[in-house]
Amino acid sequence: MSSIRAVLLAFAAAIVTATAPALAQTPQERWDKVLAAAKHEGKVVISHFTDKGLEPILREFEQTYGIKVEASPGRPNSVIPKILTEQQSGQFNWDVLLQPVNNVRLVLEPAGGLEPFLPFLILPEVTDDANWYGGLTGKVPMNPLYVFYDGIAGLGTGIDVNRDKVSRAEVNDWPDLLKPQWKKRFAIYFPDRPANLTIAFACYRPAFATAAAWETYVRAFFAQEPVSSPEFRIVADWLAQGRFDVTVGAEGSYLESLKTKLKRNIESPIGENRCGDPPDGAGRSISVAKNPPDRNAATIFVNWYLTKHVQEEVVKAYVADGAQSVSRRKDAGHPDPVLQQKVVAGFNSGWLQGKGLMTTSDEGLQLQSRVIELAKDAGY
Amino acid sequence: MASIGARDAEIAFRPLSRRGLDVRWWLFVLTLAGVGFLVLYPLGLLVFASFEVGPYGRETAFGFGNWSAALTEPGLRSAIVNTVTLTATRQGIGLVVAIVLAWLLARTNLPGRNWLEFGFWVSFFLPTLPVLLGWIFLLDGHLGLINRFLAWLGWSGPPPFEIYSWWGIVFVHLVTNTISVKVMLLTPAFRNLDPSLVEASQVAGASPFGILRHIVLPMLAPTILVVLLLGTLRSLEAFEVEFILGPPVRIDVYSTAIYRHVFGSPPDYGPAFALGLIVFMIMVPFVLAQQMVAGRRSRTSIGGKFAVRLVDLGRWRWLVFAAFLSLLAAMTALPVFFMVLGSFMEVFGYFDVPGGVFTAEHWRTVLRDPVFLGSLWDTLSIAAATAIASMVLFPALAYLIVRTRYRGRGLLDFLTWIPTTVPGIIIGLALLWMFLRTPFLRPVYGTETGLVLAFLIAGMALGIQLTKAGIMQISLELEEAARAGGATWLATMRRVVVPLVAPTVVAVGVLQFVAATRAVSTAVLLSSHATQTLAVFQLKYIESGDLEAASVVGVVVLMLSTSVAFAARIFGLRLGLGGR
Repeated sequence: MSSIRAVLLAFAAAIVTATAPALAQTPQERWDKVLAAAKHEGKVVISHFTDKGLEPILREFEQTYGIKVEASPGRPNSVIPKILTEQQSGQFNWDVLLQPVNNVRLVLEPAGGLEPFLPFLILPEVTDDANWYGGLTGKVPMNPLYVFYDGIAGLGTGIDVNRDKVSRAEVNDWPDLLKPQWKKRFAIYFPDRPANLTIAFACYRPAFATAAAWETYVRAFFAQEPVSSPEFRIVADWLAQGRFDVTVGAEGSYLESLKTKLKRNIESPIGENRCGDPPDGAGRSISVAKNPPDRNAATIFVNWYLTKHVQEEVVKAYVADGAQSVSRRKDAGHPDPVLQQKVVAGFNSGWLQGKGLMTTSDEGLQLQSRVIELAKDAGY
Repeated sequence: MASIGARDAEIAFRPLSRRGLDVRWWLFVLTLAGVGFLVLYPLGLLVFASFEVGPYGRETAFGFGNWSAALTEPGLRSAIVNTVTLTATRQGIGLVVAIVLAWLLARTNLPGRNWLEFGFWVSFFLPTLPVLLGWIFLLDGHLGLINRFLAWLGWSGPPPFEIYSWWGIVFVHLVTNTISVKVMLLTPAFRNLDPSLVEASQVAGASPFGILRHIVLPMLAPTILVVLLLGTLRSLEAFEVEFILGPPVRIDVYSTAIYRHVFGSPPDYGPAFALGLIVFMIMVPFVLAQQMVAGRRSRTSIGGKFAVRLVDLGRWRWLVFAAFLSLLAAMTALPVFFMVLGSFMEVFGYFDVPGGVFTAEHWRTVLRDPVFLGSLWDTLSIAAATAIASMVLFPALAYLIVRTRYRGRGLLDFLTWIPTTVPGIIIGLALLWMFLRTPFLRPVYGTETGLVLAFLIAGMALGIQLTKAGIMQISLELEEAARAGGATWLATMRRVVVPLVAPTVVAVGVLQFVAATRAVSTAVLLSSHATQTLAVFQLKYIESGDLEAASVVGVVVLMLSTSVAFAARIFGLRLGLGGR
């Protein structure tokens, strides 16, 4: 018995000894220490999505801390498997990932390719749960949390209509698209991956009492044989040029810029919004790759990235590019406060409340995968 | 007519082999082993991975699940039918057109033929996506400029052109790459044709097309076969055009099925590898058949009595010139015009932007991008290194295959085909694994050296087959005469072989340079944050839908490629342009 007690005491002493320095340090002391080590590392390696607006922000980090940012843009469907392949061959080349949530969650996270995220946070303004809509974890039921989504994306409603050609009486909600006159007469973004079209369908799910009824609608939708393109720019062009007067899933910064620059009377109608107003998704996320080679620089970067000032800059960059993006930080301002309110309201009232967002929750991802399967069955 | 067959090859290397198991034999064995490793190891990794069933990167089981998933994939049958019919159509049309064009360029008195040939090179340099969008802009069934122009002229029926169609896909392939690359490869072969039989036919009163059909084509059959095989392999892996033009009319092809597996969310590599290996298994017999035919048929050659008399086109001369010019305008001038125009448009393809149609903002965006200059430098150094290495290594390998009698030379030839028989996206992944899983290759992963090596492997078949054809056209009598005159083997190479094969070698170098500047899928997988080519830099604009900025990068890449081709010409190396 005494030997067991001795072992337990020794174990407790070891834990206290190991954690004491961290416990004793104030956040500022820890920050200063990590910053000094980060400057010694001299660089942080970042993989980011192909958002053009992000690059000036990365340069600002370089100027602020004198730590070089080695950034590589790329889409997650090619970058994430590559990172995983490197890791599994013993090469740990990346520090921070600024990528959309899907592939990071579906590929890297289950394969153990990420570091638990929250231990990297130091700055009090970042670690304060009250500073974030949905708390630090953003309602995502993950423990530990590997992927921190810092933005809520207003995803629109999926359907876009040229109101100069099509009246509200003709198309104003999903069931209208099943009318015989629309057979082969509207266009969609090719449904082979989680994107606006699949999200829109997933948002439509609560309108049905059962999953089977929802699937029946989705099948009927694809049986209308909408014309598809895997280039969202082309679908948006079809709408703006008048080849099609109704499209689904073409939303994005390009369509927004067309609406603005060309003064097209394009509307995104929906009878009833089931996913929030507008539906919410996590357009972007930040995570730390497994065994980051520049751990301290990565720590400095993620904290800096999640500060109020930088989150405002990130939102500005996204909004300038036409995205309906809002920071999860409550104190981060927004160029369009009305939009911000709408997106936050959608986030707080969305039907996946408590389960995360359409692009982060397991349920949302499963619904989108099912849409892709149904589309494949229909020959897409 | 001097000719080279298996017998000649034996003669060619006899002086060397007399020394028995000499250093050269060991060098050959080492070369064979090196090439074998670089092509068979990635292939082996693919085969192994095709039997690993389970989510990528996690625990997998060994089984046939990927193969059964690939073979039972919905729509696979129609994808195969579409692939075969599209490939056969465009290769058939492309080959006939290219043979006629190459013959006109090389063997007739067509005005300005040297510069006309250069036009096909420029056409080949053009990046596919901006050019494709230019053609959509012109030939869209509803809003295409040409359809609108015809309607304005009074056309009242349904629009005559629709790019989103089976024939639209064929057309775009023909005018982007299919014809131009064939003309590039065939013209030097036509030019090096021994003129004696042609002249005899002319004396006998044969018509120009009779000479082409009965004399020229049979003599060039092995070269044509290589060009056709390379074209077919490229067709089977091409997906950019089908990916954009196919879905609206539900045309799926084999390569897009592979693409969807690879770039799915999450990726599903197993079935993609199975599909890629099926292409490999189908193409291997064709490669072997080509080797057999090439081994049996005699080749035309550059002999000691070489003097070309061009066929006089007579009164057709200027008409053919006008037709040529129209074709080149469609294949080169029009796409270049639209690419440059697009780079200056506020929104590509829109002439009704209230705030102004044209802007220089996209150029400012790209040129001010801090990554741009680094990418430009990386591209230049990687492409130049690839070109130089290919101009040294490929001729050496080709010479080993053509002019020695080592037993393994057929195997070496076969091995060089392998990287081309697997679709590009798949071979890119295999190379990624090869670099990461091979300790002595790991240090070059993500570096310029690694990219150069990958581009050399990917371009091996084209480069070596072209150089082989060039060497095989050189009559042995020239080498033998030099040796009989007391020249050493090295002196013979330096004074006889190298000068004669130089235009082909330079052409290979330029092709490899361009391929390195344009390669996307391999470059994305094997580049790092520290090494980024312009093609990868351009990708961020393409993927974010900023085609205007992507066009700017496209114009820069085009200027780069064209400058290199011009430089090669100015330095007198001629790229096979200069008629003899």
